[in-house]
This record gives sequence, structure tokens and C-alpha cells, in this order.
Amino acid sequence: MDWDKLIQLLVNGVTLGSVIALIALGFSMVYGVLRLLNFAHGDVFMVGAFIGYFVLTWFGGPTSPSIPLPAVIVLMFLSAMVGCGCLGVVVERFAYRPLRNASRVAPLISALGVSFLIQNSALLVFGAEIRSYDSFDFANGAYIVDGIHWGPLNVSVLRILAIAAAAALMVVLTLFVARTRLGRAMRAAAYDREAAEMMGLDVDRVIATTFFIGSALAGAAGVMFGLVYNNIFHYMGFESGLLAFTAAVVGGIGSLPGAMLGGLAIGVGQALATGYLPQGSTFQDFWVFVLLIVVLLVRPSGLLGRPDVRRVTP
Amino acid sequence: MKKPLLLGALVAALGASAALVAAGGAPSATAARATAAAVDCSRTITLGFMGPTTGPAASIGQELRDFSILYAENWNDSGKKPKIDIVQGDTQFDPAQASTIAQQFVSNGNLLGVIGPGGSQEVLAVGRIFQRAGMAFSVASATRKSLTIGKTKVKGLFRIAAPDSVQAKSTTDYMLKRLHVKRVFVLDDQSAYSVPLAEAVSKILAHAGVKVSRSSVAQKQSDFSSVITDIPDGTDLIYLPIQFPAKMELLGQQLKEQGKKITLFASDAGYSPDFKIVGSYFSTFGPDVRTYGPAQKVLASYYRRHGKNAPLTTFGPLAYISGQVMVGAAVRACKDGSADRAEVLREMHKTSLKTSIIGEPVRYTADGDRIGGSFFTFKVTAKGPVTVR
Repeated sequence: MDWDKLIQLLVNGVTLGSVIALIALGFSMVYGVLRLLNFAHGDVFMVGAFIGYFVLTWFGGPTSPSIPLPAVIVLMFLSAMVGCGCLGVVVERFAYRPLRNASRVAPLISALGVSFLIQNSALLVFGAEIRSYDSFDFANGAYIVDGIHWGPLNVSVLRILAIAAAAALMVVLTLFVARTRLGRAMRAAAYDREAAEMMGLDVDRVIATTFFIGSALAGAAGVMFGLVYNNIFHYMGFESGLLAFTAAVVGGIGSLPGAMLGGLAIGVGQALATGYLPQGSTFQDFWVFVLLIVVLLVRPSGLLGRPDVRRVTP
Repeated sequence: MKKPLLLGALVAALGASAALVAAGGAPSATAARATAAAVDCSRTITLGFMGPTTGPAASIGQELRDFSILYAENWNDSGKKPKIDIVQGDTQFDPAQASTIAQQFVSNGNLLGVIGPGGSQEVLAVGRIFQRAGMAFSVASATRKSLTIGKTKVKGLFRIAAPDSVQAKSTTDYMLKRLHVKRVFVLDDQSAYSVPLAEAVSKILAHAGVKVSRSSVAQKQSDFSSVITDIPDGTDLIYLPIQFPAKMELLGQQLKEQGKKITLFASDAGYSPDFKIVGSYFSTFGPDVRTYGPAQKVLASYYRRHGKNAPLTTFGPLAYISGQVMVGAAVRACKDGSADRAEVLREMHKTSLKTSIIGEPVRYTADGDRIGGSFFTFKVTAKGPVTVR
């Protein structure tokens, strides 16, 4: 067993999995409260990546930032999170709220429409070319050369940053949902929206907050993606969104720990498939969907999902 | 059906459809009928341009477009008659989209010939449609060998770039004789362009006693770190016949991230400001014309139209020639005031330019390959690409 290779693959997989998990959290949160598959969520992630890019450019780019680089990175995250959070609230207000009492297909179609709208708007505004964060040029390349080097294992500063940021955001979200008043309101709305409304809960506000937080996480994931993988483009949201949706389903849609676990499982699964399975890199997506099918066959509600129990007799 | 199963089915369906799109599944072609009738072209000749002006290859596609129509624009500006009208179509680097545009072009009765598309997979998608319509199409950069030979040969295709067989030989010559490679890792991007080239290069290297490992990633791949982890120890060169320079750059940077020092050798798309890994090589179908005297007038007109910072790689000059020969053939066919597609096709075969902006003559074989097409090898330096062969 080549342990060095295994550990390096795990690092690669956890990095990718962290990004997927952050997007999957938004999917799961919205589904938990609204039972809505928000297909525009991947495109919100793309917008976050572009906001981060423009903030980086605004402050002088990767090689000669006008303020200290760590401050630029913090601003990139904050701007992307706030920008995407607001975008999520706008999308909810105009695309989903009017359809809240319509059949379940209507918001689904609306979500697909919003996805195309955001993607094509990005094409119009940002252009078609692939843009690069050039984060490998940060501090003359120190962010990729420095880091943890243990034998053949290499974990760059950028990867450490991405994994740490994702972990921190997940912890904050978990604490927020578990311990704050708004978090309790979100859980109540997710458990039974009508009952929560009858108890005096401002459900519209709770839903808008859910969209804000979920979209802010997608925005952070977008910046993380740009920092680690550099290339951003207007249709990047579809692919990542699909993986994140799969992660949410594998983890148990509606479950926040499940979304995190699902994201990590997919990231690590892709990395291990590339390293160990025949033609693993060629059929990465195939292996991801095999994982999905196996999980759903063994646990139809996902890894940490709860069965949807309904009373069938009076 | 239980809810989770329904969700699973939805995910699987979405995944399957995404895979189909990625594989370039074109809609079944309801072939538009060829418009064989001659059209009046005494005042205006209508030609088509198709290329990936948006999408993942947009930066190359826009350069292809700007150079492909440059000859016609200069022709019109000089007051020559008939006027050249170019109808444009964006393939988005998607074979299905290319196929749709080809059908639109074929249905346009005034359209006598086409400049483009850009890549081999697009040519494969449009080839039969144009062939049925008897339409000539002049392509700058599609290099897949089988486009002009064997069962997949496309009649009506005329290309400026030399085919993969020439590239594979030129590339491996350099690797073996100058770089003295012993172990090479070949990574393709699963496209109709990339796979045959990767196979041809692997075969020649293996025949020469070089240890060759192969791997492949989807064109949409955003992360190469696990592929890099899997590269065998002792590899001294990675050959990358992939189409997006930004992805090659990422791979090069992720190599550094994992502390691996391996030389990169890219193919056609390597001549790009997005690929700047110093010490890398690439092989491409055109020379560097930036300092080539006879090209300066054309380059001046290009920069005048598109700004002094407009991109110039090795794609543009070849695209210019592809436009030049198509306009030339159409004008000759329209000498008597009318022409049909068959006449333009015949005139394309008769093309004979003594020289061009790349300093080479342009004449075609009966199969549509340019006679004497060659490949050039560049090395990436801190100051940009430098021709090494």
C-alpha cells in the first residue's frame, strides 16, 4: 500500500469535497424549509467566484495588491458572501415566493429558468472567456510552495486555507442553527411550516434568511474554488451544482451534517477513483453516480437523512 | 415511488443528460436539402463563418472569427466588387450547436461557402451536413487526421493546418532527439481532437522504447491534483494534447504545488497568454508571424480594427488564410455574376497562392489537405513563447 499516495489523494479529495459540501449545504437548507430543489444554487456559486475575482482585481490583482494579501482574501470572501446572500434573497422573493402555493413542478421549472437567467446574464456581463484568480502568483508563489511538506505529501497554504475556511463556516452554521433564535425558527419552519406560521413565526423572513445564508455559503465556496482551482467561467455553476445536489441527496437531503458528509464523500470518492480505479480519471462522474445509487439502494433516505414517515390511517 | 428514490432518479437523469451533452450528442440531423440553384452574386457574395466565439474556447474562437473575416472586411473596405457579406454562427465549442448552425447555413440559399468551424469535433459534427449540401468549408485549425482520409473523410473540407500525423511526428522527433525523454505521461481531454493525437504520439514514443503512461480527463475538468498524484515516479515529460490553455496552466501550477518537476509539452492551444509555465514546450501549426515582414500589413489592419491589445496566437494567421482562400474561390466562381455551391467547391480545389502571411504557399490535395503543411515547436520563456524548431 502506497500510504503517501493515499494521503495525498485524501488531501486532494477533502479540498474538493469542502467546496462541494459548502454548496450542498445551501441546497439542503432550502430543501429542508421549502421542499424546493433550487437548481439556481450552482449559478449563485458561480456569481460568488466572479465577485471574488473582481474584488481581487479591484485591489490590484494577485501580484501587486494595494493592501495586504490576507486582507484582500478576507474582503473577497465577505463580498462574495454578502453579494450572493443578497442575490439568493432576490431570487427567492421574485422567482419562488409567488409560486409557494403552486404545484411542486412550478417552482422547479422556475428554478431552472433562474439558473439559465443567471448563467446567461453572467455571459453577457462577464464575457465568455475563462478568467483566472492567478492565486499561484500570490506572494511570488509562496501560497502553493509553502505549506505542509511531509515526505512526498504536499498541502499548500491555499488548500489549508480552503479546508479551514470550509470547516469554520460549517461549525458556525451548525452553531447558528442549533443555538440561535433564528436557527430555531428555521428548524421550526422546516419541521412544519404551517404550524410555525400559526404559532406567530414570520415564515417569509425565515425563508429569506435561509436563502441568504445558503447563498452566502455558495458565495464562499465560489471564492474557495477560485483560490484553489483558479479558473472561473460563466457555466461553472452547472457542473458544481450538480455534484453538490448529488452530495445533498447522498447525505440525506434536508440534513446539514448529511450535506457536509455527502460533499466530502463525493470529493474523496472522485480522488480515490482517479488514483486507484482503472481509468478512474476518465470515468470520475460515473463513479460518483455509482456511489449515489449504492447509497440510495442501501439507505434510501441518504446517509444521515430521516425516512419520510407519514400516517396512513386515522 | 418514495421521495428519496424519486430524487435519486432525478439526479441520475440529470447526470445522464449532462454526460450526453459532454459526449457531444448531436440531435438527429434532419438534413436540410442542398440548395443547388445558382444565385445572383454580381453585387454581394454571402459566406458563412462558424466558430466557438463564446463558451470554453471563446478566447481562441474570437481570434479565429476576427481573422477569418478580416480578409473580407479589408476586401470590402478597399471598394472591390462584389461585396462580401459574412453570416456568423457561434458553435460554443459544442458539436450539437455546430450541427444546428450548419443546418441553418445549408438552408440559407444565398450562402455559397463557409469559413470554419474551429475544432475537429465540430468538423465531425458538421461535415456530413455540408457534404450533402455540396458546400465547401475552409477550416484553419482542425487537425484530426481522419477528417481527410478513410471512412470519416469529409468531402468539401479544406484545411490550412497540417494533420495530426505531421504533428505527432514533429512532436515526438523533438521529444526524442532534443529532450531525450525516457518516461512520458500522456494526458488527453477525451475530445475528438485530443484522443487520436495522444494515441499517435504514444505509439511513436512506445515504438522508440520510451515508457508511456496514458490517462484522460474530461474537458470540463477543474482539478488535476489527483491525476498528478497518480503520475508514475521518474516521469520526465507530460504530453498534453488538450484544447484549453487555462487548464494546462492549472496543471502546471498544481505540479509545482505537489513539488513535482516535470516538463510539460502541449499541442496547438499552447500559444496563448493563459499558458505561461516557463520551461514548457508546445507544438503548433503556424509560425510566429509577429516579426514576419509580409504579415505586417495584415496584422496592422487587425490591430486597427480590434485594438492594439487584441490577442494574436498561431490560430489567427491560419484563420486569415482560410478566409482568404474562401473569398478567393467565391469571387472566381462569381465572375459571370452568378454561382452555385458546386462552382465554389471546384474553385476551392483550384486554389493556388504562391505565398501567404505565414510565408508558405497554399495549394490543396484532392482530399483537402494543404500541401506542405508543417508544425513548429515553441518553448515558453519568461518573455513569452520562442520558436525552437
